[in-house]
Amino acid sequence: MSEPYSNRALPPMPALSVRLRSDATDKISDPIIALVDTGADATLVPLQYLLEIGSEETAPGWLRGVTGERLPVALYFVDIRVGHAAFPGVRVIGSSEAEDILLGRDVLNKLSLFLDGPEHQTDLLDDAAVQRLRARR
Amino acid sequence: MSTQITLSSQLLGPLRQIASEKGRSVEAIVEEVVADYLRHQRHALLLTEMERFRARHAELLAKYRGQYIGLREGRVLDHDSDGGVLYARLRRQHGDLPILIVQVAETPEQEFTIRNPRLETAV
Repeated sequence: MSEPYSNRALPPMPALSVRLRSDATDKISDPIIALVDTGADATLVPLQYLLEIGSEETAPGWLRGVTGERLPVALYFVDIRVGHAAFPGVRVIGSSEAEDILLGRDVLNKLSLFLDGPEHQTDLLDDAAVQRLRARR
Repeated sequence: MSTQITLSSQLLGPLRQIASEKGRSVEAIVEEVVADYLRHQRHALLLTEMERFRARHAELLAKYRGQYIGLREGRVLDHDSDGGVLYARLRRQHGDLPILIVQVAETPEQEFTIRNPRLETAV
């Protein structure tokens, strides 16, 4: 799986196509471009996407930004599919303010990615490529 | 599944006018309003449950440290080390019932940090 960097951020930001699924309704979203954000503890999803698949809030929470300010948010559980990888029951932050999905370290730490900066391309590596790279260490 | 509801003319008149102006059906607007109402009711119930969680946090931490718990009216319905697994199990057992699902950590608040300046306008 290979996805061009998103031009919604400057400089362009690594991105991946994801699909969301709600266990409450069994609805699956169309593919959505998500920004790869290693600075995010958890994955953040615009509320609109969560409502479209009929996801339901499971807890109130807090989101803290770089300046330390806190914003009340709602937390949801959704299944996230990235290419061939599926992550069931991921707790995500629902935000009515955000415009993009931010894939946080809760998901990123389970993926092997190649960020091809000069080519502005994000690749999800297959098992063979991962084994080859690990053998070089 | 669908059901018929009766609205007073006092509500129906302006609702039809708004629907016409927005190019939407009355049914679509009513459905949106009801969905919004249900979401807010669920949120209010979860906030109340969160208060109960805060009040019992020390006791629950001693018993469920690091685990996810499902709390309803102050009672722990179920627990699991995997929040997603717990959510799926509680949904199977209790359907749409609003159940607070929280991780029992050192502090009761479920807090996340996103070091992304693009979000600062939101936070």
